Amino acid sequence: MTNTAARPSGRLVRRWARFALMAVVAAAFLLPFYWALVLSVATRANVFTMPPDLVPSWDFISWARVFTLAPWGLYFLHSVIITGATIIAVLVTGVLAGYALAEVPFRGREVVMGVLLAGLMVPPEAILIPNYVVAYHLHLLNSLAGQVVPFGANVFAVFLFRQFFKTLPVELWDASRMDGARWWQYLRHIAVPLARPVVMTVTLLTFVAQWSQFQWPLIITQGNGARPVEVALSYLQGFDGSHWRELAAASLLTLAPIFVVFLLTQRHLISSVAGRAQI
Amino acid sequence: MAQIEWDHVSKWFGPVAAVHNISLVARDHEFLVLLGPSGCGKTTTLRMAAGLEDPTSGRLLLGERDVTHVEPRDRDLAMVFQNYALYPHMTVYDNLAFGLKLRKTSPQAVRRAVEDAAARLGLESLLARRPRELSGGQRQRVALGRAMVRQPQAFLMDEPLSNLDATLRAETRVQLKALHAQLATTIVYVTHDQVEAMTLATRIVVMNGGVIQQVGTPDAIYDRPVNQFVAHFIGTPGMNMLPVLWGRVDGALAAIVGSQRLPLPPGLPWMRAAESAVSHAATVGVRPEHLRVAAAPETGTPSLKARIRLVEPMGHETLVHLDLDPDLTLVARTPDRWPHSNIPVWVSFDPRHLHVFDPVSQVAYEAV
Amino acid sequence: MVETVPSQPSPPPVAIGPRAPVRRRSFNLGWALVLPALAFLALFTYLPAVLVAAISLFQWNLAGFSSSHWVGLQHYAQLLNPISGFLQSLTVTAYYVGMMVPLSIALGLGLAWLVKNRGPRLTAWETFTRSAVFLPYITPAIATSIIWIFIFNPQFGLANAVLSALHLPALGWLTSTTWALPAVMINNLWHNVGFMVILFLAALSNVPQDVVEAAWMDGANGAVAFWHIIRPHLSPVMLLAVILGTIQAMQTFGSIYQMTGGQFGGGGGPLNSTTTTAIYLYKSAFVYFHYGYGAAVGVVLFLVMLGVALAQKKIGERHTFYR
Repeated sequence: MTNTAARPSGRLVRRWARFALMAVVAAAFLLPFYWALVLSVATRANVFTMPPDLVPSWDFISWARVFTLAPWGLYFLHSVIITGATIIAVLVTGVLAGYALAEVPFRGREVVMGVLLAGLMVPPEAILIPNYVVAYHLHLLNSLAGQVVPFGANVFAVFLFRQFFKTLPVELWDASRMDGARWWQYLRHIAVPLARPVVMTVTLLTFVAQWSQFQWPLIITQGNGARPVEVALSYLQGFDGSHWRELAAASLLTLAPIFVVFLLTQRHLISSVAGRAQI
Repeated sequence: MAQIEWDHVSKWFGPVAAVHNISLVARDHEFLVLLGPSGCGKTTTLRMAAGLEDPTSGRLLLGERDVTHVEPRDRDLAMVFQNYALYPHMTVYDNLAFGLKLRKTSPQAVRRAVEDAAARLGLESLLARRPRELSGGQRQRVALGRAMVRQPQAFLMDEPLSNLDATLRAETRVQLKALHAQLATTIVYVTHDQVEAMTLATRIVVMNGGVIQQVGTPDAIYDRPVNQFVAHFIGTPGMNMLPVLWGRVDGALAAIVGSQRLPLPPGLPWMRAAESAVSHAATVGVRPEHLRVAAAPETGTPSLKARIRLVEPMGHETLVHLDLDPDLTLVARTPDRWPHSNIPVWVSFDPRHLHVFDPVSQVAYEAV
Repeated sequence: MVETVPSQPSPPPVAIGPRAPVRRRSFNLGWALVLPALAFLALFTYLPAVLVAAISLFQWNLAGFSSSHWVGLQHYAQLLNPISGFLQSLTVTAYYVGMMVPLSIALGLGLAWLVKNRGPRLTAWETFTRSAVFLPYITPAIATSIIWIFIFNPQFGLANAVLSALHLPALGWLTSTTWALPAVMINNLWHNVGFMVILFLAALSNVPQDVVEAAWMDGANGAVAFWHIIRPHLSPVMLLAVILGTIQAMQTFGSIYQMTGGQFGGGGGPLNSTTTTAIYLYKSAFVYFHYGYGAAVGVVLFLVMLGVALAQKKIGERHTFYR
């Protein structure tokens, strides 16, 4: 153990043991997804068996039946609208505030910074009830807007944009002024296009957060009017808990956009989450 | 009319005056160079003309129009920045076109203007590239092109050549001069490099400490510096400065330099000022190229005894460092080669090449 | 030809200059730009943070203050009464957090060590395993909790299949007051450990390799090298992991709700064995509609979380090296 270089065979064994362990870990973490897939394409006969059947039988009837159990298209539409609108709102508020805090000197800027930082200290769980009260008085209950507005600004996004804009050389602003740009044209044509990695990070983090949003939509939506997929899924399990195959299919349906985005943007997504933790 | 006028303009950064009460006119079609050491206020002066800095007091006029509080976009001036400040995410074409697009120029007109500027600067083959794919010289040309496409009333250039290597700088300097002749517009140009200033300028503005020291043609600045700062700042090496006391030799005015006496012929333009001065002291300046070094004293011209301390051979000329007294040194530029050091020699010069400055105010006597 | 005589060759007098006139609209522009963000946050963060304390003093009616009934500190007295179940929810939360934080840190550190790149670049296996471990972290909790409900099904679930393969007795899992919370923990460990792995991977990459190698050369074995060389480098991240892990665990809602019968009365079963404070707060306000009482729970939760964060920071500062 003390001198591995002198014992190549020992090192080889260790390397293979590590690969085997990594394979086991990866399999264990992916197993729930895999089993859900198996369940969703199982025939009725091989759902309730002990030990559980781990070989898929590729019967897609449950996938079709999911859509007869509930209006999934509508729920998806809601979730897409909510997520999309929140991303836009967070980007707009983040870019504007980040730009102001980075490049526009104004009286009270330090105060604004302090107020924003204080906002990070408020645990969302603790203010659930007053949030509901505010939403009630703004007539946001049971609406799509009610699921966007509370998340329309994100302190983390503001700071990310501020940090990035601070790194831009001031000559770019001077040059664009000489070219005739106003501040918003500078933002639109120069600063924001250059901030693409930050835009991407904020988009990904907001997407993941909003697609998974559950408690808030659970308390403010009733019926199908504004219900997003996560809440719909929760109800489906509540009322049709024995429909394992359909539930598995519906769960995978909800997970699908996340999988797709993860596969496309893996590296950026992981570093975004890592960056978020450091703030 | 593309005349830019600074009218009693000052700029304070907190308690520090970067520019102090300057009045200056860049005339139409003129190549005006603001020259000075770093921190002398030349860039601030330029940026106030651009509208990128607000003057603390005073007015800025474009032609007859008061633009003191007018945004840069409404001044119709273009600027070339020291580090070029190209938009990194845009192609060369888009960099050139950006200003025109913002002004809602028709696409055809944009294309024509960009292609025209690209052709003049030899950028045609680079239009699709991004700044990071360009060499320093190419970037510099793109920065120039971006200023040219809009056909502004005047160009403002902030040390546009300082990020180029020496060879490229010399080439670009020549191109810039040709371009000025071609475009026939006003250029205000900031530099700390006197060679650029001398070669390019119609007139030079020498600045120091936020104050204009002298304005004049390159020749005037070189031949008749109004004070010690200008005299020493222009020329490489700078003008030799020697503290002297006035005395009389056989009734004629003579300068006492260290332990030596330097008889002077009568009738030099500054003599009356020197004689009527309260002080018996002055500073005498003489440019290195006006000094002659010889093994024996010349007859008919004032000569000083010296010793060669150090020789810097440059090929076409030689810089000879001389000691008059332990604390009095001179540098001479001579076409002769002086191989050895520590040789006793004689230094002589035409007294008409002497510049005499008041030791307190440092102002040249001719200028009084 | 001398055209201009210097007015003043000496530097200008350095006096207190006039301040630059505030001419630009920067004062207004700056505020205008931060206003949208502040408005959103004001409505759903700052105002509620104040409002929560006010609401907790009323028998709250949604119509507003005028139709609500002032009860003073009565709700807080109720909280302290064991009958209310609040204290029990704190116990459950403490148990949950007390298990989750060390487990997820230990597991996260172990996994980070496993998937850490040994060579200069990542191998395909390392990348794949990292992705597999991270993926659950970004999945929506309800969708994955439903899968875990299947896994923990006492008759047909994978969990008991594994136990029986190991010749261990089958468990009731979510139907058992003892095993329901551990089942939730397993789900959330699986779900959240990827975050810890990322946190520790970043920290491990900061451990100078030459120091570790020097220790090997000096004859240190793995455990010794870890304890004396790597652990000190990890301690700042460890503090972060403890704080973030605690905050995350305290706010866990969706998975507990879903796995413990949320659709049948708000979750937390069986017999309140999984009623954490988050579940308790939700049920008070949105199952029993005692908004004022729920707000009091929120205030306590707020204070507890603030206290935990401050305490951990204080303790952490004393034991953290290499800050």
